[in-house]
Amino acid sequence: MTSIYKNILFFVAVTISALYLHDNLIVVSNIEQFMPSNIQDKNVKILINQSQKGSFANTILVQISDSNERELSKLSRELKLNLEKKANIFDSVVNSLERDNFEDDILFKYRYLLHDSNFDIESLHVSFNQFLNSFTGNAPSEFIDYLLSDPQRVFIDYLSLNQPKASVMMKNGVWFLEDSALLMVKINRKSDLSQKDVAISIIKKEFTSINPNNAKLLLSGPSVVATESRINIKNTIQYVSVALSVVMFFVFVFVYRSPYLLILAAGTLLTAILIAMTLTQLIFSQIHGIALAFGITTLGVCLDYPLHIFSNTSATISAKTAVKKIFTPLKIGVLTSILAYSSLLGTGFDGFTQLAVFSIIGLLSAFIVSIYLVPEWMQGYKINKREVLTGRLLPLMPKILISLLIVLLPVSYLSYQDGLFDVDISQLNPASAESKKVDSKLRSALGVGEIGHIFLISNQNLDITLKKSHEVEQELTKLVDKNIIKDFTGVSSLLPSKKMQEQRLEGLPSKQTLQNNITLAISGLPFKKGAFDDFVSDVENVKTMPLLVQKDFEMSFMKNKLQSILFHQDDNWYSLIRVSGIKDVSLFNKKVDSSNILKNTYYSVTVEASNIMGAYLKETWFRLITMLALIFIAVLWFARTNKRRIWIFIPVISGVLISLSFQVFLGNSINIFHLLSLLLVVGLGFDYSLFFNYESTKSGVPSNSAHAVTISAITTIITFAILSFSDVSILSSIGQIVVVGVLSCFVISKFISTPTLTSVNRI
Amino acid sequence: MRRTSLSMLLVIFFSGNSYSVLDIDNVFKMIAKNSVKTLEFVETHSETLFTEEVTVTGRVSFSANGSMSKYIETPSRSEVHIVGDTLSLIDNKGVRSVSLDNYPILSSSINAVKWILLGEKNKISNNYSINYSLKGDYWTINLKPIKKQELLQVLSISIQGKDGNIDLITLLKANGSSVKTIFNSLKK
Repeated sequence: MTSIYKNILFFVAVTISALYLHDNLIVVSNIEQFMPSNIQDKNVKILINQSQKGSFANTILVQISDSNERELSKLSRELKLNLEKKANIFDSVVNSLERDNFEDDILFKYRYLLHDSNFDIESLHVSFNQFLNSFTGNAPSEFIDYLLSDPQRVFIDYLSLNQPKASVMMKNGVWFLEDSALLMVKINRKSDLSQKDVAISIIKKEFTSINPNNAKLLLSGPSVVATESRINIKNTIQYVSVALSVVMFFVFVFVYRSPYLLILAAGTLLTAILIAMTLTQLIFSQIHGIALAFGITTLGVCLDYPLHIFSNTSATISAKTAVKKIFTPLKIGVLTSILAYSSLLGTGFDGFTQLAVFSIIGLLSAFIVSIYLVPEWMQGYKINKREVLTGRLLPLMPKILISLLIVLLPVSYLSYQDGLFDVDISQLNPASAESKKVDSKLRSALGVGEIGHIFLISNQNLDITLKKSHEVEQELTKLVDKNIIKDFTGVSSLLPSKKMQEQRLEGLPSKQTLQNNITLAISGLPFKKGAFDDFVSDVENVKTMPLLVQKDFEMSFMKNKLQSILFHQDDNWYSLIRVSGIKDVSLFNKKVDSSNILKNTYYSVTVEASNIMGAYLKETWFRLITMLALIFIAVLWFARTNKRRIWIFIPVISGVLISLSFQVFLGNSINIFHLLSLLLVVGLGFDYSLFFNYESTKSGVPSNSAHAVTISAITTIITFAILSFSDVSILSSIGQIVVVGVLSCFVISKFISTPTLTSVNRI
Repeated sequence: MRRTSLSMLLVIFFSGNSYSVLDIDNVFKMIAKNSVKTLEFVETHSETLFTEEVTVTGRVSFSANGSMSKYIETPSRSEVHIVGDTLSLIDNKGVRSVSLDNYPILSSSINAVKWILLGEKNKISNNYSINYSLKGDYWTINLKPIKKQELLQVLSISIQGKDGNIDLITLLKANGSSVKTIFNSLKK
């Protein structure tokens, strides 16, 4: 193929890719793509999904601080009023559990089906006496009016049973946690990512407009954390990109004395990213944000390919000749990297499969551009680079001793460590540790979003689901009575089953009986005859109404509450029962095991998620080790004809082990992102090792391989060192592991992979 | 001559006004000085749409920080404590609390009494128009809410007393009902 055809083909491919991405690119951030798709237990998948995307995902916890209590409560009230006006954006804004418009809610008329009530004379008398106490005790007039319709406070009892058990203080009529006023804001349930961002900015804007002084606003919750993380990731990637550009510019100007080569290197990398994005989008119909960000980072190895060509080109050697010279190690380097990423394929995590596909396509694209197009673009271009000399060659014995030391030392160090792997699923959350801490504190104070111990009931039929939930809740009530657990939140008390509603309906007295009972119950009390006519007619009305169904909650302020514990998914109804305040976990587990209905429905989300993550880590380790073993076998096979190839493997395995040991030495557990970053270390390690191995056998002479590898190592280490200081834990994990791994691979490759000092080249 | 009469009138007018301001200030000062105490009370809630006339008896304590505690003995035993912005009702069913900040009208009438006891005349004049009358050692302070929203529920609060003691508080509601509270010293 002639040069012009190659360029036309390149131009067409890049243009089509760019146009296609412009119209079709969909970047998603739903975390369940990083959840295994092949979990046997469907309920576990539902639970993990709920823990990441449940109704709490739309909750924003607002904290207002740095002013006096009076001012803070005023700000809380005003912010609530302003946000409630934007009903299309916010479902609800709550800053206390006090309400005075109970009777306006649709559920109010169903109160005698929702909660137990007693209509006998004695019970009514107690209720009326209590009413009188409220009346004489200066209770608000709104409340007194309310009691005329609901003297037994049936609806209030129903609501208090189903409210979050907040441990916050009430000051000036609003929630307070320590010195901050708290609000709980629910963004519209159907909001997408950008609408959530808008909602967050509206809260900030409204607060600024009502805050004349310097009170501070702190937002928390999954959507806030997600937005902040996106901004953090974007900022980190931006400053790393700037740093990389500056480093690359100086390196290219200083070492190659050519900004043009910088453009060629950057062009190769950008083309690889563009093609990888296009094909990934075509295959998966979308790209996950993490796969994209991580994939672009891992494609950093692609920069090495043009670097090798530049370093092997000189005033006398053309780029085409250089490509022919380095084709074998370059080809092996690409293949080993592809092999490394292929270990992510078929693990059951769609997000990681996407990452593997993205990286493999990117590597191949960069390789093709480097060997077919870069030489074309360098035709007639003379390089006057600064030379790097071959390092000192080591004799065989020291090489063997050092090799044993750098492999066995980290192996023995790692083998003595307990809890080496971090299987906490929250590691997938890119939020900073500080954000997670604030979020957890507010969640706990407001009693929302706690999902540690859960009972999950599912059935295609809603009523069977409700009935089974009721059975589980009956068992849990026994545990509450025995003080084994403090409380639980289930659907039965919120939406009783048909059977329960029918039972309550049957228990309602006739109009005549109720009126007689009221007359007798108010005897001796100063209530007028007919004072409770509304109460009587409400009891009568409920008898003619259809039973309450899940859809009736749509118009109620309890809608979100119900959605968080009862939902329909994949033709099944799911009911969640959350347990809180477990006094003794082992005793609780024992009790769960001794009851069939509890045992069959119990899930510990943390344990389940950790099991999955642990299994995934094990599998990925197994794949990584198998892949390294395969490469080792391949190296041995190559070494049949040339024994010095045997050294290629040592720097890679040692780099991986040293990098892991360093993380453990810093007190970190190995998480999934460390493992993924090791793939980049393996890729770069093989690249360095291969090229040092193909080195000249004489010390002190200019070396093209050492030249390219040194530049690659310098740029990679500087870039990832900056990344390791990021606030985003995922990015800092990548940074740390790559810096140590690449540095180790580089230093070890230089001494171990380079040809051995023999009596021949010693002369 | 006409000029002298006019001057006389102006002198009487201004001197009379300053004399009145001084008096109300004295009344407030005397009440505030004598505010920490426990009294017996008889509270009469007039007939409403749903109740006959209700008479409540018990003791009430006022503290220096404006907190009030009512220990109701009849018609049934209960306690009402107003501390800061929180009103708590304690009866044989337990404790129920509401924040007065969420009930501005209730808060307004409670605050009126609290501010008088604390001698905070400025807060009263910011929320009520004040009228008063004096007869020997006896005085009557009439408060009418300034805010329309409050006026829709509370027409007036009348506080009568002698020297630094409050004898009677009459709350007139917009719905026609009233609450009269008579205070007496504790019987020894």
